[in-house]
Amino acid sequence: MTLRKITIDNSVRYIPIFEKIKETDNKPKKIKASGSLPHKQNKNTSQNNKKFLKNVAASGFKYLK
Amino acid sequence: MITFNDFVQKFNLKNKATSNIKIHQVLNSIGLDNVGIYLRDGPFKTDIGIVNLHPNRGSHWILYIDENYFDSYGCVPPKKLSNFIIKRNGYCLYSEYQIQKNDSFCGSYVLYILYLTKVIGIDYKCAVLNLYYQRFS
Repeated sequence: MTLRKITIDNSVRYIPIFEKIKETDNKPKKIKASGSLPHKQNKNTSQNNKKFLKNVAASGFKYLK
Repeated sequence: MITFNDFVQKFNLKNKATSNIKIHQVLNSIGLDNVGIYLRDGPFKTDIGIVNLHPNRGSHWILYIDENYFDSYGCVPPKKLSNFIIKRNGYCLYSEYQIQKNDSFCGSYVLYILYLTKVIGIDYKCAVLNLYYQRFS
């Protein structure tokens, strides 16, 4: 996974750079994961980055109802 | 209670991609073999689950424990999963703390949060903050 260094409110953060994932076969035997953000992949990349940056800037717990 | 670093060492977890098989082994070792392991779109069947956010291959591991959702990047839950959690519990509480930064420990983070909450018995919010401060203090 590629990370980009950014600075928010004088603190350094690292965010993943979104990459388009190619669809291959549908028969995985073993799943490995190290931490990219696939649930963002189908949307516009710059929008995703803006949303992600907004999300990173805030810290805490939030409720969905 | 053991620290995150000790936990990683104890279960031989590496700073690289974690497989579903390894996650299953660790779950068995800590007595949580009733935890489901799913791909992004489910179908989700258990109260506690570890979910891979890719629909058919591996990418990023996240966790839900009843009404609580944990992503080491601090992102919002995917729609299908949040709908499932809200339907079951009435609401979904998720953490915005970005714990994963320059590493590949997502699988280890979800296992450690499970260990803190379900084995040690720490409240979900305290468990997340505990891990956050272990990583950045």
